[in-house]
Amino acid sequence: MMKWSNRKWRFFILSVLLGILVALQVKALNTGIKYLSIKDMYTQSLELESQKSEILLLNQKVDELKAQIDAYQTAKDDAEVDYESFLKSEIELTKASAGLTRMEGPGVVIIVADGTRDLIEDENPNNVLVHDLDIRAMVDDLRNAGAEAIAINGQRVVLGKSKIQCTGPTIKINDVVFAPPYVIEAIGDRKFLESAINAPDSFSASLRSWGVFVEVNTSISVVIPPYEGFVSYDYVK
Amino acid sequence: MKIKNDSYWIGFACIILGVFIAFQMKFVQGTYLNGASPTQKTTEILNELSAVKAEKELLIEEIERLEEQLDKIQNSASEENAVVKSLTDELNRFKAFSGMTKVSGTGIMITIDNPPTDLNVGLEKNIAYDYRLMLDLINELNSAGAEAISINEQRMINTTEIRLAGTQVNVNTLPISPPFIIKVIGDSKTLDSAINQRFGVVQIIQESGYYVEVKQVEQLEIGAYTGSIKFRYANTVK
Repeated sequence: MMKWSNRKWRFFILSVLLGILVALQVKALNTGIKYLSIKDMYTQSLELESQKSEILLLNQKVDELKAQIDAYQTAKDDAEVDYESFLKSEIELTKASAGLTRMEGPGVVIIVADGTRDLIEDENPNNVLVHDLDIRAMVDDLRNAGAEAIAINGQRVVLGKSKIQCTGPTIKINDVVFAPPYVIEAIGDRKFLESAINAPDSFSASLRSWGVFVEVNTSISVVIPPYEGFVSYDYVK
Repeated sequence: MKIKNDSYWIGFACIILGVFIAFQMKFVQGTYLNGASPTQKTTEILNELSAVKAEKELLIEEIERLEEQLDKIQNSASEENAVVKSLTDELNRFKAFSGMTKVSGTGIMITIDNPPTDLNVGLEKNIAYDYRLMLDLINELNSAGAEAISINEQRMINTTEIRLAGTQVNVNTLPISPPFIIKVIGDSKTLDSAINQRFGVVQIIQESGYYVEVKQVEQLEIGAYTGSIKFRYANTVK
């Protein structure tokens, strides 16, 4: 008799506990609390970050468009402003952002040349030579540091148009062939650009450690020529 | 007597276990969540994410509306004057070249993703760390005559960078993470075979352990650059 009631009591308590837990669970689901694993949470927060910075860009675009609409409207309605000359100045601006105008401004001049050190026994000579991918990575470093215009040996580099290709002992940039040394010129904040090349974790730092010659000079005035490729589209509609 | 001794030991072990679990919880919270409890934080993140996405939608709509308005003004102006019309056409041509317009056409779509995490190796491969492979890929596409390129809807323009930032890649200063979907407009056959060449760039990426898929697409749409271009240092000279 005693044993029976003891067991009953235990069942009773356990059932009550189960009931409370189920109730809690349901309540937790109802209050809009969402569950994610730590890893998913991490990717979600990265996504959040990315979306937020995109919104910043979009806001800039909205402001710019509003300003443009204003400008066009006044140019059209106001008799004092000549619509044609206004359009011409707009064309100039667009050409500049497309990389089709000659630009001048403060920046850096970088000289990259094959290394002159003696090779270690059986070492691959490629280690001390400049390759197309080195140039690409350096250009990317410069863009990341906010370069507004970049040219290599006088050839404007336009991403989405320019190509930097290995052609044996030479490198072809925009289909013009160059041999070392390569002179990269960039317009932008001189300090940022210089440190993009000199920073210890930059690509040029690793190039230097292989023995490739990299030199950076800042300059008050760098002149960068326009991109000379033709502007035509066969596939884009 | 002996049983009692055992339960003391079990009790002692439970206390140690409890302390360790508490430490672990505290550590996890401190490192990943800045002290908030996991459920609170996830709710916060997910709610904020949906809010931000809604805001983005609204902004995109507004941009489309404003662009239409601008088009209308330009069109009405060019109807009045032939010179203005030719100038407007020229302006639009350069806008297209600088990546400021939405374009569509035939081309290819490339998907690059990380391999599934191999628990045996324990090392997580992330294409973001090998972003230079993507630079090479873009370069190959350019040499194969690509006319417009975007990575995860970010248009490649004059100043676009592709750059490792943390565990992500910055494109147009926006952090984006894999899978990367690269859309290219151009001759789809040339583009496809140029990158799929033997020992070519696709093979190199695959051999580095990543997932790559190239698809030829009849009709692709690539959006315009979503930011604004401003020159702070460079000036145009004649």
